[in-house]
Amino acid sequence: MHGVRGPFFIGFSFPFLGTLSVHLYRKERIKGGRALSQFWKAWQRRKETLQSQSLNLHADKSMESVSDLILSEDVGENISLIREELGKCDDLVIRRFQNKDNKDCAIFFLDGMVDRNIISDFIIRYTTTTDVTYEGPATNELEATDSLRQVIRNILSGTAVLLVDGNSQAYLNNTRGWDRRSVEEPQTESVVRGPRDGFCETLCVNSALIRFRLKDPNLRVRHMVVGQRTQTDIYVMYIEGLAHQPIVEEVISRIEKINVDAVLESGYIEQLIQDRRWSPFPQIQNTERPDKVVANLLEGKVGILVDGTPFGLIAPAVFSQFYQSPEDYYERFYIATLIRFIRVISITIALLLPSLYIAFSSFHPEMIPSRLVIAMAAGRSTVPFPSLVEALFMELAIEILREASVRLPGPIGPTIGIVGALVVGEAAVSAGLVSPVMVIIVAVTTIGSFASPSYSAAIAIRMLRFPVMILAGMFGLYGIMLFLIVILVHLSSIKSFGVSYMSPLSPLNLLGMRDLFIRAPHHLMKTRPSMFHVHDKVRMREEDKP
Amino acid sequence: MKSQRRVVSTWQLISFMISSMIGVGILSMPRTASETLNEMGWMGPIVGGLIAMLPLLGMVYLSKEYPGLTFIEYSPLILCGEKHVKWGKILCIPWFFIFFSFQFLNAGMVARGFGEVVVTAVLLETPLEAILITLFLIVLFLCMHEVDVLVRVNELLFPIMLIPVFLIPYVSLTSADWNNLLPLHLDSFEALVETGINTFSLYTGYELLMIFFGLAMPGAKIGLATWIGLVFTVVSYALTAVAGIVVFGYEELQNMIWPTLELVKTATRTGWFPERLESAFLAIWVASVFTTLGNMFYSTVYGIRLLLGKSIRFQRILSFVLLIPLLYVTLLPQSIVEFFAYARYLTYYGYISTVLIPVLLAIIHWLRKKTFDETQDSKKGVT
Repeated sequence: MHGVRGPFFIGFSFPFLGTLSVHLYRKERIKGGRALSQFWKAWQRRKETLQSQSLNLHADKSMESVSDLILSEDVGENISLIREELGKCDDLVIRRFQNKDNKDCAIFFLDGMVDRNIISDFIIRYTTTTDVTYEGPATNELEATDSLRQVIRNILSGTAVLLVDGNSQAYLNNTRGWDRRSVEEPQTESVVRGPRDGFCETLCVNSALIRFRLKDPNLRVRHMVVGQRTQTDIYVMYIEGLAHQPIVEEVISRIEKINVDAVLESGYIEQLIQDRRWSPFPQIQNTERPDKVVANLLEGKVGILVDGTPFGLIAPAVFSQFYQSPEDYYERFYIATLIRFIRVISITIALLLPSLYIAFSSFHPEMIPSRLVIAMAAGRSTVPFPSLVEALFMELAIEILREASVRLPGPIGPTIGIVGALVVGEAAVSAGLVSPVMVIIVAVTTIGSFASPSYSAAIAIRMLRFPVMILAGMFGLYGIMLFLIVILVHLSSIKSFGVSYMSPLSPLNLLGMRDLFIRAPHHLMKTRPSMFHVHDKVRMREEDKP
Repeated sequence: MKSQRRVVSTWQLISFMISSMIGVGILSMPRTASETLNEMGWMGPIVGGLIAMLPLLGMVYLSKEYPGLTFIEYSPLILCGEKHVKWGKILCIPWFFIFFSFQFLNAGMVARGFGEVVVTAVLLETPLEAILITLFLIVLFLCMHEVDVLVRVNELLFPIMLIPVFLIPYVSLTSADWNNLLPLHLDSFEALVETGINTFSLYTGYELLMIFFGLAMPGAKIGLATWIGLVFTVVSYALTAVAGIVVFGYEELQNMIWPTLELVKTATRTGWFPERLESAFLAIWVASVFTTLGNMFYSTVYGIRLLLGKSIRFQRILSFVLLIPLLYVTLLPQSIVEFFAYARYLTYYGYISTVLIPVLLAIIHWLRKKTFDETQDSKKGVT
């Protein structure tokens, strides 16, 4: 298309030269126009090189720093190799013995991370007692490798490594057995009706909790390791043939891209792989309940379990996580629907009640019924602050109380709540510092924010309450509305792994409404929600109907 | 790329159309409608809706002919065909200029109108500029996002907007005098047409669909969406006009600047929880005004972005840059009387971009297609 035509004013004497100059001129102009984007690209490149440099640095310090050697056949040499790599580790136990064939053996493990009975009974006894005809150690998970790096990694994760003289293969015996918390009732998501078991800190226990609920052969578990230094194990779980493959691939590729030196909790993963990092709203759901994970896997979502934390992740997440609880599906649908509405109302109260109070009392007193406004004015007559200051002060006080009662040890926590809420509140009212209505409002707001079944969703609401209070203090109801619109615009812009955060409300999906605010009876929800692009749409087949 | 941007569903088109049309005009509409038509003022919005049908027919026809294209892409094609798109683009520059400048000015007028209402009715001590700037800031925030966010915001705010639209007639019925509607007699047909032409400005906003039809999903029912949207808007306007006439009578209406707001004020009962509704009404009305203003401004910016083929970053910068002259335009009328005068001029200007040009484009396309078909037929006849 860009035919280079010679400019006619140069004439036919130097047509070639003219063409050339125009050509150059055009190139220059394009360069000028794109200078900014070129600068941007250069900047990106520089960022990438810096990132890869720092990554290399990490790699040098962590597992990749272990030289990728092949073990030799000599035990003594191998021992010194491993000792060299692990440095001065006083908890590294090296037990040397001779086996049936009088060959030198050495067994390596880290003290405290292994089950010592297994090592003495099934490794050392089996390899040393001549009566036993079984060759080699008798642990339930046995592998062999000749790579030094593999050996070091296994020692660090609680494996007993057995070396035999004259054999470059090291036996990796799974003897992991450190003290772990047993399966207990979840602390943050308790239900009245429903299973009482919650995740614990051990990955394999957590995945077993899911497995025993979901005996589907199509349940896939992908093992990944994240964290240069912590080498944290992660399981990505999904149901093949149900979950949308691009979503699964996206989750896996985002986890693979994480380059961080430590993953101590699933929150690290959540914050690193979510779509909008600056958003106050959680775009990945977290839960302590295996039944919730299973229910979500059955809706075509992806579960992520992280070793060392009782909080599993569910992606993609939508807005309804703010007020939906697994219990809704266990109780009759009438009460479940009612409770959902109550949760929605209490979340609204938690977000808006203090700011509505500010707006009404300082901008629109005409909206309050006359008797109430007289009573409120009487209560406020001694208060020396404007209502915005009063509300901010009280909300701050309640936040302090809340934080303090979380940090305090068990028995003292409730005491602080009683002292703070009752005694200080009562005293503040009688001292004329705050109005009695304000105390009611703060109390109701706080109770409302506890009604959300998801803690991390509730803290988003808790946090947003402060800016909306300030806006209400500036512009009254108009300010509240402005804030709500901003939030709504933001919510509509969020996508969690390609799924709109506000779906099925927007984009509107009438079938999805069955399980949004109301919880339709199970026999009406024969198909799965379509917003997660499930491949097997039918949940209840016609012939299965009782 | 082009298939990716086709994201707007039928329902989103409906909600987008309605919320672009219902804006600040409804607040003064009962007065303007009953100015010359007196007690038959409710006919005004209906005639206005009938006028809007004509360009809408043209627009729907054009979008069916060019599925997946916005008017920015198809108007050069209509004028000069596929061979001379560059010439077509040059020819279309005045038309684009008229369209965008109208959207821009109309957005300014909507903002000003709403600002005046808020300042006179609810926030008496707040300067007008504070209202306008906050409103513009959230519009700017909206313009930072892609176009699918815009339609989703419309979709989400649409139910909120419905509350006041249908609440107004209901709450005012308690103090209604139905005799105000009588006699059912049309004095002069000319007055009807004139009122229709004047109240037509209530419907501006539908022309944005010339962009959004092009972004509709393959298979979205464009025609259905258009007619549902139009009928809905006509009904809600007519209901509001009826409510105004029924409650106040047309003589009293002439003395009110914002009769719809006065309607809400009549719904005052001691002992109701919100004892007076107008603050709540205006607060909810922010949503409606925001969608109108946001849609117009966003479409201006997005249209220019499409025209120049730029990225989202260009849109972000441009929306910020354009907001400053918008604020200037908004503050141009020095008083509310001047504001209404400007608004009337703008209505006439709007006729060019919202009625004349879509209809003209449709006719040109139809003629071209006809001649093209004839040449095709004759060629077939030869071979």
